[in-house]
Amino acid sequence: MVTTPRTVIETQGLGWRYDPSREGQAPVQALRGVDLSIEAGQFVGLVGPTGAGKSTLCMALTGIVPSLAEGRMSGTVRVMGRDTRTTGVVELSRHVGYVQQDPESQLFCASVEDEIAFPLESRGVDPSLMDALIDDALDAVGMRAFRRRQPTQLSGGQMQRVAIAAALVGRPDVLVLDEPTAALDPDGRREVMEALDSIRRREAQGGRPMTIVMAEQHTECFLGRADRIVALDRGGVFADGGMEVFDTMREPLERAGVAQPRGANPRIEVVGAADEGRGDGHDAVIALDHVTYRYPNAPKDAAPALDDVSLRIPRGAFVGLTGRNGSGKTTLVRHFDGLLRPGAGTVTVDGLDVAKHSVGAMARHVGFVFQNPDHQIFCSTVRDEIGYGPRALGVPRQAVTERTGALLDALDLADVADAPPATLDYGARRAVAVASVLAMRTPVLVLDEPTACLDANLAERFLRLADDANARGVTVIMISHDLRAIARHCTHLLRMDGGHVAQWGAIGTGTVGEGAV
Amino acid sequence: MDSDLFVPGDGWLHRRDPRAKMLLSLALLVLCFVWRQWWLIAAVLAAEHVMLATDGVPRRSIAWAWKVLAPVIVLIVILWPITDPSGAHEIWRAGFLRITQENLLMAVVMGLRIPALGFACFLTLFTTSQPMFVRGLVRLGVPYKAGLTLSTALRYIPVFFSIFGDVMDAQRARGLDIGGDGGDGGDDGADGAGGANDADGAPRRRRRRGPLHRMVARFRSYMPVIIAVLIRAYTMSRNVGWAMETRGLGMPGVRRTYRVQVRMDAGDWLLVALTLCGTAAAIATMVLR
Repeated sequence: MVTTPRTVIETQGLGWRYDPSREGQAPVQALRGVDLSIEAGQFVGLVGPTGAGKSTLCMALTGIVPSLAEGRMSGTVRVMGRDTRTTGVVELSRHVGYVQQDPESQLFCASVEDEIAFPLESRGVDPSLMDALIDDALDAVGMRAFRRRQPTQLSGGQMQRVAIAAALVGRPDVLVLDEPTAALDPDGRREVMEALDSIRRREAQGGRPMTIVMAEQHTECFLGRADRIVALDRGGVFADGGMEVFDTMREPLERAGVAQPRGANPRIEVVGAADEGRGDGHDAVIALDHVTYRYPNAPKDAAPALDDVSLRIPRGAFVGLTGRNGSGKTTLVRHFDGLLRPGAGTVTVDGLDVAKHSVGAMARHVGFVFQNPDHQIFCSTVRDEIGYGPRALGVPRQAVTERTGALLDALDLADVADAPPATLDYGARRAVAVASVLAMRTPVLVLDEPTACLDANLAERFLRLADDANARGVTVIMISHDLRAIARHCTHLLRMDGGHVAQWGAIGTGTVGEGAV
Repeated sequence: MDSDLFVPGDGWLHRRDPRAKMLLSLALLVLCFVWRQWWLIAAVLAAEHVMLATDGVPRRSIAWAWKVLAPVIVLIVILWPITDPSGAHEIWRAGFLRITQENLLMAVVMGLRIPALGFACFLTLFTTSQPMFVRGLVRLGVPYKAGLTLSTALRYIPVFFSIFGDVMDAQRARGLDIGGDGGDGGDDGADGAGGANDADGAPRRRRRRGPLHRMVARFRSYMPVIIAVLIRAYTMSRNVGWAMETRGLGMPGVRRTYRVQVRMDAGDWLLVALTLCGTAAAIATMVLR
């Protein structure tokens, strides 16, 4: 019988420097001098600002660093007694399961059952045993009913639960999760965390406690779960202890952008919620009149994505747009610049009937920051990227230069102004994407989950820029699951449910407390 | 269609062994490459549609395939008479451009050949699940990693089409001139927005441009979209590779097992026999004529 050593992970002086992605660029020191010793059965939460080195540390524990990533490692990492310099990723996978941040790119098979079968086949498991093992793994994450579904038909939370099941089916000793809930709404986040709770209970009952290392920005995920919190900043550990570090190290953690774990969401009182679909502004910058939209590929019996929506958003409002995944939020805002055309009804934005104008024409009136910055970025330098939008709108060169310079300073991008944006870290790419739309100075600004995957400081900086734009008279529509951000920054709340407006109105002053909306 | 090329089902083609279907696809690919008679290729194209329809592949998937193939068909049909001025029976001439009965007929042949070749592949791809596809290739002697790479690439084709759409939306929303004609996308210009001004703010005069210039401009206008899609494709393929390795792909000292088994039955052998007989008959007819 193989016994699990007491210390399952040990890093000594771990450092990692990414090779520059182009000639002349400086290498990026992602980790420096990390000393960690993690015991069997511990649940370790990794926290830190965007770009602190959390993902790189996760990769070091799986062996991707140094085996597959391009860079230079110093120090040592031992997982289950094996040195990751001399043990390949595949060999380490006998002991370590790994769940990445992006659900879409880690589910590569055509069905859920094939995803779970893949690690079993790799381990040479007898095919006659596989069906039972697949059911067992899917039971652990509550996904048995979805066994024959295609991964692309699942929600984000369901995809991550399948990824966890695929990581677990090989019975690893250590499970490494790199921000598994980053792309999920609160329901998806809860599903993933409940799945982890269920797995830990099962493994503990089987006398084989599972060690979990989980990087996460949503620190409330650690409440009642984590035995230990390790905080990273600029590649080094600056806090290490139990959950009490959120109290004892409150100030340095907050300075680094680590949010305090908080339980219930704030209660947001909406004034005039009964006046559904009418709004309160005389000067409506966005008006929807009985808008219905059905996706062309949707099943015939499916409900429309937007169902007879009427709405008037007053000029100068800062609207927090919330609702579950699939409630119609994104479908709604895609009508504002003509990316979608209503099947019935009319959409008027800034005095223009959107149906009569191209998306390019609407770009002068509606700026749209998409959630994935990589969908927007294509220029060879950050400066060109930020200036692209205003140049496309015919803004004079001098004004483009001024706007670009101001945004480079406001978002701390001046040092990388001449670097290719695609080579920057995630937080900086998000900043470039936001700046590239803000530079267009449109009267309406749509932000799709502007704070997702970001640390608290960077998220707050983006929101302050949105506040500034709003103060200049720009109408801001912010899709967000972050009710605290909505309560702090927005003037109006719009909640969608099943393609309908479920709640709409101005946010009441002084009525923000604890509890759910 | 943003998921797998495989369409779940239980039709007669779905039930066939992947090796038999691969042979059928290969035979049709070779014949359509060799034939120059439009009616033969049209017959194959019709037969492919009949096979897919009788198997129960939904019209939506067939329409998606046509949508994917359409730009290539249009491009080749237009370019063929331009690049091939051959033929004795001239219909029209302008400079180097020469339209003849022969090159027009060849353009039609090419216009039919592209979808016939495409649907020859879709016969297998629409009706064979990823594990069956890999298993079939492995049983034909293809190394597992090569089969997995091919099937994963096919699996991600619709995903990349979907990403292409998302990226295009994101770029158009920033005022990118996808039309490539210096306008705002080409469908209005009611307020002169979307790139209709010069960088110094002066209104841009629309210039008349030749078709070649417009084609180059249109291609160039897609470059930002292509660059962004390539960046996303790179990170996605890297992450997929990492996911495969962390799930034990090629584990040392382990002989891989397979959950899905393939076995040739009477129906499969019948399909192989019909394919071989049909191909032999077609070749014999060509040789004897």
